[in-house]
Amino acid sequence: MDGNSQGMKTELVASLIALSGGLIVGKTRLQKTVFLLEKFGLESGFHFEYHNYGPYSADLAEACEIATAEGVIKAETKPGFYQVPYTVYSAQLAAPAAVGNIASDRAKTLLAIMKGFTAVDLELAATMVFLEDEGVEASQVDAQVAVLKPLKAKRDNLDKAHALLGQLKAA
Amino acid sequence: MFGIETYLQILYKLHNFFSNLYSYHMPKTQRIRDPIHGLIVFEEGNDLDQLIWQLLNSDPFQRLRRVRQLGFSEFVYPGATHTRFAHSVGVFYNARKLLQIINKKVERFDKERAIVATCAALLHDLGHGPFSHTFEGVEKTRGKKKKHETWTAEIVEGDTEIQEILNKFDPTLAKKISALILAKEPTDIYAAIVSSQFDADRLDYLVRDRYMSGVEVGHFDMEWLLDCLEIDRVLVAQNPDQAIENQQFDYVDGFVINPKGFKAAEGYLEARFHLYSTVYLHKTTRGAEKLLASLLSTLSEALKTDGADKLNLPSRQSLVSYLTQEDPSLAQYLSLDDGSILSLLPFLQACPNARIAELATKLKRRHLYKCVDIGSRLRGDGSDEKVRFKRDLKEKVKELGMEFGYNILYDEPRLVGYDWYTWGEESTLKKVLVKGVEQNKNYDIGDRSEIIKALKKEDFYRIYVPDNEKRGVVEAIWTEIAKV
Repeated sequence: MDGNSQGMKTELVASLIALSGGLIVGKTRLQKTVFLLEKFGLESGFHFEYHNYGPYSADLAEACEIATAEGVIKAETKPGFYQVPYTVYSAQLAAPAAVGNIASDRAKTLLAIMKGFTAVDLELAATMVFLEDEGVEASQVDAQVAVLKPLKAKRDNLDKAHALLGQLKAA
Repeated sequence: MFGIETYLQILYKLHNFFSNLYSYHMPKTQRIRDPIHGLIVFEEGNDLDQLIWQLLNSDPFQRLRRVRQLGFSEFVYPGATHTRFAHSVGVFYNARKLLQIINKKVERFDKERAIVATCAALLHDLGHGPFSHTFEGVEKTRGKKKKHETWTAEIVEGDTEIQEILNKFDPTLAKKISALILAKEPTDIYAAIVSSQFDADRLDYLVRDRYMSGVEVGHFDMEWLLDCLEIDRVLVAQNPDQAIENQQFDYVDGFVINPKGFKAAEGYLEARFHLYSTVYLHKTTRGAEKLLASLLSTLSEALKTDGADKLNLPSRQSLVSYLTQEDPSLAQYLSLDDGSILSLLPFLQACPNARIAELATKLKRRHLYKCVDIGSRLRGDGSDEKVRFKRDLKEKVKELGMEFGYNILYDEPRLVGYDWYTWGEESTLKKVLVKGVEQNKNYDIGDRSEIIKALKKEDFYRIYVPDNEKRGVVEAIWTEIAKV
């Protein structure tokens, strides 16, 4: 679905937020959520590359801007730590039948699992998946994450990221 | 008999062998004159200085003499022809100065970490391709995800002269340097030399790029600023992109400024803002970069479908050879520099592919596309008008059989006043923190400075077109949007 039209992409973002209880807090969380859902068949057509906080899609960021401008979703910016702004996305839609290529029930389950983890857990899990996709051997992934993210890659954080991936796979 | 890659590898090995033989290192005091920092001395009796001198003379580092620091800025500011080589030497010099500050302020100076940070500062730009960020953008359109930091790490750790020199000094050094270059999070004060608001890189390029481009904006008092640097424990949010109550925190040593440096820090941030606005994001420079990106993407596609022979291009030329490979080697990457592109332009002008010939001629003669600055016309926060404009433009381009990336180019850089690393990709260590009265109680300069508060972010949105007819198409779309 790489050729997904802009309209389909903005709709996908709105559906995803709606299925996530109508709210996703933080651009990092939104980005990593979409990236991880790709692994479960989302087929959004968004292109991801490695950024400061792990896999990031400029197309997805643009789709959010368009969806906000068109009123399909709301993006509220709030001041956070040291006034660094963070964004709260909301969307109120009737439950869609599917989000991308994932049936709505399954998407809801996956999104609920991700909601139970912090944005840092999502970032680490997404980075692990990204590195594996890039050809890093599974046994070396944690070590490579520690190189990229020396602060966050503490053992308990890495364990939580693995647990998240495990739960998603088992769902 | 040999493929081009094998040929290059053999050539590279032979080169390394003979340069090692020739350049058996005899410690000796060495000196460099730099227009920004004055005399830079590498002392005979200082192991680190001698290591740095050897790295400077290695083949991958000498390549930086052939990569301009500011790419096409020279089209606008003819003096801005300085290289990544000069800049990297300046970064080393700043790293040395920052380490002297650290040495004075910390109880226990970690000499080993200091060596890693100094080498990382010197080598941080090794992985830049020709015309730096432009080439990275082209690689992205070719589906290559490797960024210059990753290339740098590969040059440091891979089968190169750099790695050989580092290994002789300390077999663990190369790995530690590449880890520091790749890390996206500073962990201690030594990492802050390589990446922070006051890192050695930024403290060089802001001064050097201003001086070489000749712009009169963007001056700041570096001596005073450095004299006011302090080290303190800084509270860092692991993910700033959340409400405060959901944050996970760490304490990390970072640079903060003492209150006497408040004005100098204001000047520093203001300088950066002006340099981005007048030099780095200049519309003509960005237009030339977009044109080069268009040319290289077109060339890459044509090489894939037609091959070098059919395009009358020399297949062993470094850029042609690189673009022809699906998975180019490190040696092939290192054979690229600005000259690879510039020397190919006459061949591209004579190429039977009309599109390539046209773009190459435009670039060589500096007949650049004209800029229609839509961003400056947007009203309110602009997002609604921009979305509508983009939609209408896309439809019109399709209707008229035009093509994004060829006869219509666009550019959307963001200039952010203070929160340089935007959309929440922000960390406390990227902020300028001013030392408070109590220990660890620092405040953000943005909270107390009216000047910093006034540095507003600006989202540029520029369309580039080759002729007046296409400019008319763009203007007509805007006229309709503006009516609403």
